[in-house]
Amino acid sequence: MVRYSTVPLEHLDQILGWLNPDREAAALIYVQLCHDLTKIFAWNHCHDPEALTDEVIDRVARKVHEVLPTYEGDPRLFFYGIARNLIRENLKRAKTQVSLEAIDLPLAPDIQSEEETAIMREECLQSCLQQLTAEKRDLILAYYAKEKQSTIQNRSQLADRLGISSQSLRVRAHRIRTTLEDCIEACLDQKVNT
Amino acid sequence: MKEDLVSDTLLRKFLLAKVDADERQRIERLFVTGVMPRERVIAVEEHLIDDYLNDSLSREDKESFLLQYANTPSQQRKLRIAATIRDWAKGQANIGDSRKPRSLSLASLRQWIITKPFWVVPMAVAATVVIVVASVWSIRNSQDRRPLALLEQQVQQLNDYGSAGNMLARTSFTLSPVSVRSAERQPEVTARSEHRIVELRLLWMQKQQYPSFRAMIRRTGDNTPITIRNLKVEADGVTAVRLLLPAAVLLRGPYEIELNGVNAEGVTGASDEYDFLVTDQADPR
Repeated sequence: MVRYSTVPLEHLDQILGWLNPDREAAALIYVQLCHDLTKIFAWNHCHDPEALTDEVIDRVARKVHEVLPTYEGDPRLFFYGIARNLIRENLKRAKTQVSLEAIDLPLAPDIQSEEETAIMREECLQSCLQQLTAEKRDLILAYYAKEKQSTIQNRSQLADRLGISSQSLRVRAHRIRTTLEDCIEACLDQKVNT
Repeated sequence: MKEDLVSDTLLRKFLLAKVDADERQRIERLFVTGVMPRERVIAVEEHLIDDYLNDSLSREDKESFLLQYANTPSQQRKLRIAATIRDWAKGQANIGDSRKPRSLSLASLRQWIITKPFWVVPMAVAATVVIVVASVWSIRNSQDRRPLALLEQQVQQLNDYGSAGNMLARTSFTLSPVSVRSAERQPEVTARSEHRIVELRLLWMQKQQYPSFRAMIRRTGDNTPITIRNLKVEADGVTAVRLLLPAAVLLRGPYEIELNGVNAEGVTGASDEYDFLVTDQADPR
């Protein structure tokens, strides 16, 4: 999820211009890049991947005017380089903090798992399903309907029925599922906070 | 390097953090520049999640998966949501096959909670556990082993977050190892309906001490045990390992527990066995 950044507007303009001269295309690349960096942070066990992605953008924004004139190659690799530095810093910080964390403090209860129940999740699922079009609801239902043994065959048949490739079906199902998951998360947050 | 050089198998290893640092960074670069289609990563990741939820990952892969995808409360939440969506889809598909509705039991539990609002918060952990437990035990003879992983996760959480469990009504039993008990009768465990949690204090009589323990509990005759890790010793006069179980999981009949010490490197050491007889089933309603 892309957060509001404190990056000054002129720096953001420079970043977008660097990613692509076409502003619309640049915005799409920027959003995708933020998602990708967040994923990379998560893969590397970093705490709060979204905040670290913001930090990458902030750091790039501070350097972009220096780097831009001489940098060659895909600018996304520059962002990635900054992300790698942050991962290293994160790892170092985790190592220095480990002794403190190892102290046998009373465990803070996991509020989410404590307060969120299967009932809440089911209620949120039902509510979020209502927000999907019937077509999308049917697709996600058909996509996950079968047990593992018959999954591949089922999905292949589903793709044939819809007249799309298996890969397109996968992407379509993924998008719907992501929408559904985000909706359920928001719904759970609301339930827990009220 | 070409994207072709990242096979699905390698991608799977990457997602399970089983590649070295150079390979990891190479794949990350391909990912961030879009040279490797994101759809491929999504597909492999989705297969992994499916395999986990279907309980078809190897033990080693499952451990790696949990480290990568269930390491934080936020990740665990995402995994629970993913399971909910898949359960719903499969439930809808099977709705014609069986009229035994999971939603009915959920509805009655919901009614119970509504009529007893005081219990809502402390019941939250137990409710989750009970629901998953009920579905697991009801299908434990079927081919679908997927919920077992979820059950393990829930019971693990109950034990990890013992402080949350403290809010719930519980009954406690102390069990001696079978080897020490010799001719004594098998201990009986009875959970009355007001008890949501059964606390088992497993006496550890061996000389070797360990930073943590792993318990595998099974109903006698069942093939697949539930494994709970990272249990700690309580040295309150006697050395005992505390194991918390949702009362609803315990059906009438004999149970066996194998308790293993686990050293700092994660290697299992000495073990002891315990057994007990559940004489009355807790009523979750």
